[in-house]
Amino acid sequence: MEEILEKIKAGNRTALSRAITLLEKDRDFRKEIIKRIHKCCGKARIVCFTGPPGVGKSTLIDQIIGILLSRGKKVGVILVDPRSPYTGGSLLGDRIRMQRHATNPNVFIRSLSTLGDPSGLSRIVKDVIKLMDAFGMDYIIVETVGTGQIAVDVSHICHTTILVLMPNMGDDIQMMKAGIMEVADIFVINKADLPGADLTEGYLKSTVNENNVPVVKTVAYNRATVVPLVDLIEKYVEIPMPRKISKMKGLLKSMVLDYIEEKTLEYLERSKDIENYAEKVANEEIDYYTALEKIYEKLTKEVLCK
Amino acid sequence: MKKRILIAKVGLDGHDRGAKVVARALKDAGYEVIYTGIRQSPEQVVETALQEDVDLIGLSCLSGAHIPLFKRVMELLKEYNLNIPVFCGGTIPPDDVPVLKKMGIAEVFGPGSSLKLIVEKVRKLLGEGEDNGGNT
Ligand SMILES: Nc1nc2c(ncn2[C@@H]2O[C@H](COP(=O)(O)OP(=O)(O)O)[C@@H](O)[C@H]2O)c(=O)[nH]1
Ligand SMILES: [Mg+2]
Repeated sequence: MEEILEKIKAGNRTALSRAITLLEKDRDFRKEIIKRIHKCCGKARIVCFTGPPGVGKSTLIDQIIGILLSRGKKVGVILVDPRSPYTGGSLLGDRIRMQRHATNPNVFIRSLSTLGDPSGLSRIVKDVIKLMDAFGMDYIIVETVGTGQIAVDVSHICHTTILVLMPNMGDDIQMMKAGIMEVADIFVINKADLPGADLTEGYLKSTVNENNVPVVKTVAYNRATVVPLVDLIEKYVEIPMPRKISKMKGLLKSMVLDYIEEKTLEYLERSKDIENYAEKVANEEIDYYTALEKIYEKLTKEVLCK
Repeated sequence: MKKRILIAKVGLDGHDRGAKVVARALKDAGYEVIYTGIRQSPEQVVETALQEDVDLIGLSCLSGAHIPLFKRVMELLKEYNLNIPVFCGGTIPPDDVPVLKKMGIAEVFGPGSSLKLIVEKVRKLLGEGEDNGGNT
């Protein structure tokens, strides 16, 4: 543990990569290493890109990596695909758009899927961010698909959350979960080369943009259109306190829920309560609500009150 | 944890139908497949394998230039101290198979290899049983 941590801090890429795998695989390793690196973290700026599939997030990130590199920054990228099913395999292809940076020593790109620990995806992302931070990245960029709970969870751990949209998405914007609209620090309308970008911009500004969140139009292939976005990201140095607190509220809430879930699962595995009571319910000795109450009673005594 | 497999197409020629089909078949077989697309240099392949911490690399190549490219991949893996098995496929003439194997490439799939065969051999390369479904 100490050795792998030293190697990460010294900039050893293989060690970083192995440690990320171990994080995903091994709960105890995860806790131990995060506790240990806690103090050497906090230097990196964390930027999350979220939005529906196909709007150009990966292409945009590729351009942004290029711009940040030209400003002398080291960039870590975490590509999350929460669409992969809980069983079966997954095909992770976001990297395709960024492969020109694959051999740059100042870039490290890692793809993650939900496989292995679907419920804890955002927890793993949070911990991978910490590792990349300890490694010495100036910027850590997270791409996540969608506008659902995972995106909101991830936004709590980022300094800047960017919701990427494209022209002619009026109805889709309306259908989007309010949650993600609220946590966005910047709206990007990508594919501004397509007709309808101004309309979408107007729509965004009038209907959803009560907080005066900036709206930026980009064409992901065109560097000049992306530079203002990077300037804006770099400018967001200090998050206003109320916003910081509201992010922390969200983060703490999901961490508490995570933690209770973890403890509960540990207890259930250990105690065999589920098996025992399932038998009783199946035999019609007791009903399932009674079983639930009994399990909960034992659980609170043994886990939560300890 | 699912095993992770990198699928990359080396060489300068354009299309990647074969590589995509194999990538999808491995996904359906339960693996986590990282796909890099076309025109990858050996350096890109090995750097990606490192960053993604994959358990296996599958290379596809359609041009005649595959031997030096595959050789370079194997050299770089050694240089990087990465102990990852490699298989390859594409339009590979039968005469080249022994050459590739001698380089350390674990399996070579010529044109017309069935997906079923590829998945079977991949399971073996990853040290998994027949009906393991990619789960370990
Ligand atoms: N016309 C246009 N197409 C774009 C732009 N940005 C990305 N694309 C294309 O949109 C498609 C989806 O891009 P991708 O980056 O994979 O989207 P993601 O799913 O949001 O990551 C690709 O075919 C891109 O080439 C843009 O600014 N304008
Ligand atoms: Mg993408």
